[in-house]
Amino acid sequence: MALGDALSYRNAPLVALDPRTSGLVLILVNVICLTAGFDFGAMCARIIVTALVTALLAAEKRWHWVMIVAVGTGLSLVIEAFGFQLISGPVSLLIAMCANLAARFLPIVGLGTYVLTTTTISAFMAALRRIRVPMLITIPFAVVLRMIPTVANESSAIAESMRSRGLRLGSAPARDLLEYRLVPLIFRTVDLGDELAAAALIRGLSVDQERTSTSRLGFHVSDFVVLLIAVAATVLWVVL
Amino acid sequence: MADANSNKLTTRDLITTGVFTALYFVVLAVFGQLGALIPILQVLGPFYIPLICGIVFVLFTTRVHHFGMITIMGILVGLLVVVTGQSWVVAVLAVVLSPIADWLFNRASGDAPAKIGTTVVTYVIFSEMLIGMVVPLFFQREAFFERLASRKAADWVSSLEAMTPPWMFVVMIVMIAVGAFLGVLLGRAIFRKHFAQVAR
Repeated sequence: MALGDALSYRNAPLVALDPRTSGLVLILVNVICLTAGFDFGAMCARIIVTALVTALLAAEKRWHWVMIVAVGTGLSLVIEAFGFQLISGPVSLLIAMCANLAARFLPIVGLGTYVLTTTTISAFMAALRRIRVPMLITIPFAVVLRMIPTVANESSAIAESMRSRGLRLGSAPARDLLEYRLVPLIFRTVDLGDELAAAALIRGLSVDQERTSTSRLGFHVSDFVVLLIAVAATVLWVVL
Repeated sequence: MADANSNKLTTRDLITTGVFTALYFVVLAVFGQLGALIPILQVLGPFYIPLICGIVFVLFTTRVHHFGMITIMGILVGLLVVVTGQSWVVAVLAVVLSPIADWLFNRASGDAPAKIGTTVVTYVIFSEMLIGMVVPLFFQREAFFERLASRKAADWVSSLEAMTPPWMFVVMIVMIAVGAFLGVLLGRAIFRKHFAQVAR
């Protein structure tokens, strides 16, 4: 998996961001995409951000994501910017609504995917330790980041298996459906969590000592460029 | 458990907190999305969301032995909710409410299994942070509906506007409390049926 590759030096990626840079860029992109409107500056910022996310995904050779973010967001932004004047009626309103949601969330999801697949948990924890965040916060935070995709996967797998058994709203009392849906999810998550805890403890996570890490941390050229682009987009949006 | 007696958070506690936070957040996100599709569910959200999440929370409280776990969970949930595009008020409320819930829970229960009343009070206080999600709907009303109008279909927006007169805010606070109360009952019922041997 990508997580394992990121640890080896042999196939070092084209762009390798420090987790602190990723976090900051993620926040900036989030704010821009969720709150920016349609005026000139905001549109510029959103286009720059989309291009940045596309470039990062391309550097990782995740071509299907490149297509989704570039084409999806581009198309949605165009529909959003010009669609309102040209079309009317409930169907086009629905299209405009979907376009708006896609334009807002595709860059965020794309960047989230990039960050999650390129950042190892150990690099993330090492980076937080560098900026002196106590383990009290680092550990739960890292576990949450590690577990959310897993739990979401389990949840959709359970939903699928319920569908294949013909269990949907109306075919059984709502309380039973809720139980069928949640109880396996909780069981799986608790089991996975116990395994995770065992793995973490065996690697000495509970030892009260300075920890070392093999991840290369630090502010390099690629961090500088990516951060510069994200900040430039934010400034454009605020100033224009 | 050996570490239940010491008064410090262990690494295992921290990992447990992370696992249950992830679980709580996924359940919140999956069932919260229903409200984005159907306006009536948006209004019932303050009732049914804490009701469903109660199942997760009740199981979590059986693993809480020290002050700090509920606080960390609350703050992380608040952060995640804000990052996914909800009002920042949730995070502020989380920072204020979850330590109170945490303190009450650990003071009342100590090492013994929590009484149902303790869990109810804790979870009601904890859940009230979700009211932050609807604060823009009531207190920045015009800006909120303007923003929504650009995102959602017009009849969706007008039906939401009609269903939320200002006094609904107070009703929603009560709805969260009732939902949380029933959530604990539901959680305990399901817990007894499926997880009882985990409790020891």
